Amino acid sequence: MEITLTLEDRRRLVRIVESTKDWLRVNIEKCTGCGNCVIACEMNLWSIKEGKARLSQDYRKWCMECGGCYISCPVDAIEFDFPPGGEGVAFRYG
Amino acid sequence: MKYDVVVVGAGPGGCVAAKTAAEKGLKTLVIERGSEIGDKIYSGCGLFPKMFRDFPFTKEVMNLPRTRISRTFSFRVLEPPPSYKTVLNVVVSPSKRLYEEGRELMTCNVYMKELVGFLADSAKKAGAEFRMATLVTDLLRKDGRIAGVRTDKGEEIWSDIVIAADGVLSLVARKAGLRAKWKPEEVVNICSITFSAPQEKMDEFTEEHECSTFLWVIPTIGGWYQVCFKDGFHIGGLGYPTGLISKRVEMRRRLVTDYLKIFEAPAVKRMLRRLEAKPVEWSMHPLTWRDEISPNIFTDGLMLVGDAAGFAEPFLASGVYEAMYSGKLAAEVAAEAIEKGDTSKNFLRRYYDRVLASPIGKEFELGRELRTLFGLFFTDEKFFDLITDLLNFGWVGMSNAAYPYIDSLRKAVQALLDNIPVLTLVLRLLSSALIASTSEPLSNVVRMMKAVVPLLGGK
Repeated sequence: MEITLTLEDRRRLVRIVESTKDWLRVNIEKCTGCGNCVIACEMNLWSIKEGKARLSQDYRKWCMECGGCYISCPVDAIEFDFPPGGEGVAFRYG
Repeated sequence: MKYDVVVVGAGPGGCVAAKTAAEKGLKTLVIERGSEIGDKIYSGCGLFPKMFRDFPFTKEVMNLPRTRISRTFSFRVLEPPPSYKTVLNVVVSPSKRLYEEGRELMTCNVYMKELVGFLADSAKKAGAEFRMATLVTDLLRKDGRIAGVRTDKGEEIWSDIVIAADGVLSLVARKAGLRAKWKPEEVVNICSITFSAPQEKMDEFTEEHECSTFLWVIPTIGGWYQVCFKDGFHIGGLGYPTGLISKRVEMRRRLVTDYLKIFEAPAVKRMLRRLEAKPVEWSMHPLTWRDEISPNIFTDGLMLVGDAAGFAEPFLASGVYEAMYSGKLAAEVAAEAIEKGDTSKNFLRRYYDRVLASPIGKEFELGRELRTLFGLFFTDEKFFDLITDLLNFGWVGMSNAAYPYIDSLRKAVQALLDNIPVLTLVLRLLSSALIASTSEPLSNVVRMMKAVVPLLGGK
């Protein structure tokens, strides 16, 4: 039996209520483009464009709130709050 | 609106804090950002007997319909890919001498969502109120003291004491100015999959192994824990080294890529096939993995508990018991502070002191050293060679049937004798370091083991 975690699987195997407000952002002034956030995010929501981190437009739909990008940023360029109450990831088994 | 105590977060720490506070007659409110209890928490959970000893009310968890008890613990080591051959497969139950109670229960395996559901019900029964689907966005201050919270619904909820149990990424800790964020070398991400499987298959499998809790290790890649429930199981993994955020970004390795390696092992594939297992959920969740207790866990009107305070113990980074224990301590101190009418930082220092004197503090006494030791076991093949050799000495070594038995026995005994001087040295130093219970001797042992282990078992 093949166990995969393709991006499609990752999206299928978690329940996320799309958030209605922005709660994650990058401060472009501070960002050095090191790419730590790209390695840390397993939902592939970060990329480096023109030497700066760019957050996917879709993050409110797919972010699991693991905080990997936020913790791994060496220059504190990522601001991580939480989705509004009742929104974001909602695990079924835990 | 005014409460005695506002608890932020309805995880294990928050629920026990609320239960304890309510039982002491305090008007208590829990504010949880998830719509349902357990929405924001993950980690198939194996509870150790200390939970039931220190929190007797949780014994009911053993009777939840999907809970499974394991009276043994299985430890299986596979060679790194591409071989994935089993090099060690042991099921352990402690001897009567070491730990009598463990013969009945090593772990009680429960879905995290069910555990926190139970704990929240206990807090409600004690009289705590719950406000769901509400995010605390800021703290209220009065006379320079934290005196309540502001929510994303725009409400201001005042309280004498705030207990923050809002996890690794605690917003309250940041708003209180207690810290900015944990460092990347202090946080691990755990990747997990929950599988469902027919109960009769799970029964058959766990009865055959007489075990429901498994630790899989592939040296140089990492470790995976498998906890079996009645109707499924959970495989989570890679705390160390690649789960550690600092290591991961340094090595430019993706966690999921390493995590999935366990499913390439033939032994695991066979198990999944046999159990007719189907993945039903996956998660990435953060844990703190720190080697000391931060003093920045309280201020005027506020105490941090559980992961928000970085209390996951340093050996395995498990934090449910620590969260519950610190929740209880914080609520007890809150009751005393309210009774005395003094919620100042100065008064709340006793929370910090009690944490240090508690089993949590004990876990951290040799935190840095235990973490290093654990890291070595998971990353250094020589350590596993040593363990494998040790188990192969004597009877098993004799029974390899490659040589006449008497020759095998001679070889095994000779190998053991060759290693005895070094092992004696290691054990002597380890024992004196543990008795001295200070970090320096244990650091020396770890350093010495690093130096001598490559010399072992190579003859």
